[in-house]
Amino acid sequence: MTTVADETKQSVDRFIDTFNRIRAEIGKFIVGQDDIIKQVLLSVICGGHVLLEGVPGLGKTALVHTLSRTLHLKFSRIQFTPDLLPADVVGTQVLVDRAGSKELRFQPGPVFCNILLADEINRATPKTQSALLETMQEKSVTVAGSTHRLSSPFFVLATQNPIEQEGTYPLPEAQLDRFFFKLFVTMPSHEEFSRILDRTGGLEQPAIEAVASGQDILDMEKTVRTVPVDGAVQDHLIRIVRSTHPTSDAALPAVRQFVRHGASPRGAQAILAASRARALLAGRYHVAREDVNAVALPALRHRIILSFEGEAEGVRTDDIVQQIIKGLT
Amino acid sequence: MPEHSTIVEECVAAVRRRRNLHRLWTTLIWAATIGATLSIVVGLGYVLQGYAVPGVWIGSILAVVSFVAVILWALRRLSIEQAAIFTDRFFVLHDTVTSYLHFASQGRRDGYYALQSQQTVEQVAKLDRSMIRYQPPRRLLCLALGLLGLTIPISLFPTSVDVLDRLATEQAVEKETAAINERLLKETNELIEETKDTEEEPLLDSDELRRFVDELKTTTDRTEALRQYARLDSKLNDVRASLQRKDDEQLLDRAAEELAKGDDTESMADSLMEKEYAKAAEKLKELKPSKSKSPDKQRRDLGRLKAIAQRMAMAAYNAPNNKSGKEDGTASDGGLTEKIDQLADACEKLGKADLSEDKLTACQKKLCDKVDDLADQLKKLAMCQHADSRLSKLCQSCGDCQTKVACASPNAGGKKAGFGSDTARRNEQDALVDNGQTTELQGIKGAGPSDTTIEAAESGSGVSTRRATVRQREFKHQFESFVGREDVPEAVRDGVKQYFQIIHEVDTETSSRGDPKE
Repeated sequence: MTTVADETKQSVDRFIDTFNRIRAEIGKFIVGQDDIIKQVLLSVICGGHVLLEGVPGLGKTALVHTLSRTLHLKFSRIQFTPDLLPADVVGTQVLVDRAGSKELRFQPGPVFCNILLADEINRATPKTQSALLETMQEKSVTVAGSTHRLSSPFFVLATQNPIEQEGTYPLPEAQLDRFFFKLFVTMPSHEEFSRILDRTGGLEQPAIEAVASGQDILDMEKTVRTVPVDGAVQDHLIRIVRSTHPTSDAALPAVRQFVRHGASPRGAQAILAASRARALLAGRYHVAREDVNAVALPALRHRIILSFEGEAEGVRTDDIVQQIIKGLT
Repeated sequence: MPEHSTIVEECVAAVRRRRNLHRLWTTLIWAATIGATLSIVVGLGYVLQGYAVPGVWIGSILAVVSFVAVILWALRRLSIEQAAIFTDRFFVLHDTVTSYLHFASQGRRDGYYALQSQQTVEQVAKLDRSMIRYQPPRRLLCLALGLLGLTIPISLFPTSVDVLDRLATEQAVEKETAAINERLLKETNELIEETKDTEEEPLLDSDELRRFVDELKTTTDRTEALRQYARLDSKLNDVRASLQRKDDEQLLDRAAEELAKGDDTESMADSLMEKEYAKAAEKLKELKPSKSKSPDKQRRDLGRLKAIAQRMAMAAYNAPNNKSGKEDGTASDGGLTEKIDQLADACEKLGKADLSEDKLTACQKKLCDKVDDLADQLKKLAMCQHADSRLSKLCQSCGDCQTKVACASPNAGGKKAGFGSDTARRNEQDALVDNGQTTELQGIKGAGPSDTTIEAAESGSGVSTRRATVRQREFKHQFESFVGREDVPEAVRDGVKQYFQIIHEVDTETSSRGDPKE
């Protein structure tokens, strides 16, 4: 008769095994970017959305596409442009002729998938961007008073191009807060460059197989949610998030000077979920402060709103988060 | 689970003990540093003032600081929680032990908690606690050892000679003042006892005298001691001044001179010259008219009385402080003078031939009263004299005490205080107490100017010495400095000056004759 502990161990083993398989499969196509891949997977496992920022050509779209193939999930891509309308994203009602009578039928948009790639999301107008708000949080779409549930699991992986700023619309804070992680995709190293060319330059492309399913992802999410957290570690997490607020007693001078708004409890939730997953992947059955510190940066960098002085001084939110973590460790 | 918890808790407890011990060592090093610093500061305070450092001070400081340090350490020992955090950090266990303890305290034992517990035990079992070694703060340790080393030579400094002398002197002064105060109190009590129920008793306020002496205190400060005895001396002199009747005594001295001129007043003059005023008062009373005396005797006594009164009145009239200078020969300063005048008047009136019986009786009575008044005045003067002489002994004693205090010293040399010589020569046979401060000077043989010079003269060459001239010059310098001193009487100075003038004249004569100096 298996005990609860045995069952837990089995689920953890499955979790680790599945994660490694997915990662290994993605690694067949995507060269390098190990950290990005891990964090994207962490986000997906925790049911969160990811905002990828990087110059064009770094494999952001390829990563998302490969992920969808690995997980055997339905994939949609939306190229955001300034003329994109909300209906183009969520769907609209169309007039359909049915048995002689005309009726309005809902035509689902591209969001009705499991993995949505929102390419260059900052090029769409705020109106179109806000169409994803309900989608990302509620995982549903409401059109003409009717709410349509999206498939489960559902993830939005959005990309941003940091080079072209003309004709772009920065994402509203409400939408930024809905992203689980914001990741910077960096230029590959020389060796990685070489491997990329070797892998993709020839006639044959590596074959990507589905090694997990959507249900596996959901199970993994469930497994993550039960990892225990010590009170002291949770306090540490809360102190990090509270220290991002300029009005907090524990705020650093840099925060008071350069930050307008700090992270919300959603940020703390993201950190907690991600640190749990990271703990399991590290072979531990509890969350440590190191886990919290490791995931705090991608979880908070996009949730801290700089003041005018901070932007004028060219302050980076990454530096502020790192100062906070260093001060509390 | 219970055995798991035992393993982990044992490990944490062991780490806690180790860390607490390490903190104790560090605390003691701090205590040694602070204690040594304080000891050096205190020690320098003693040494710079010339005192030796009492060993108990340094020991006490170090003991107190160590005690306080141990108390602080005890209050700030690591808790189990802090020990668990340290274990996690030191062995890089990623909060494994702290999480375990937290979950165990909540009573969670299933699922993840069981797995976490097992994992913790496995990790803890591999730990080598001996790796937690004590790393003393090296710089602080060197500083502590250096400062402790410094306290040793500081604590070995002896008390300086000056301080030892001062302490011994203070002790001597204290001892002396205690003895002196006791002696003065005894003498005062004796004085009061002697004057009790005597005629001098009203003149001496015994309570006041006792109060003077009671105010004396035993002290180690020589200056303060001298001051208090000087104050006592001053107070006693004030009391004596109030008793003295200088004017009356001077008047009676002049009266004695006048009385000595007459044959029948000679006896009275002797008494007054001897300052036996009580005796003089009795003699005066014997001359009072009385029915028991024969008429001849009465006449003779009256004559003598009249002569005495007249001569005394004459003396009073001629007194230098008789400013008004009355034409009838009487002085106007009152008191004794007035009594003398009244007696003279009474004698004059009684001497008139045409007195009736009643008037004669009245005049006789008045004469007797005036005689009694003058006699009482003389007796009072005698009492003041006696009281003053008693107080003078006390003043003398007080003066002796001041001298003793001034000379109080553990190394006092010379004769006993108060027994110095009043002559310039010292009796060589008197043994002096050697105070160990002899000084000896020696010149260097062959150094100094030559006493001889070779001089050439018409008749040849010879040798002259400078010795006499040098000696004469030295004597001259010494005596000139002696003459210039203020405490040398004028007569002595004049004599010395005269002497040198004479010998200068002799020299001048000699040199003018051309005699060689030898």
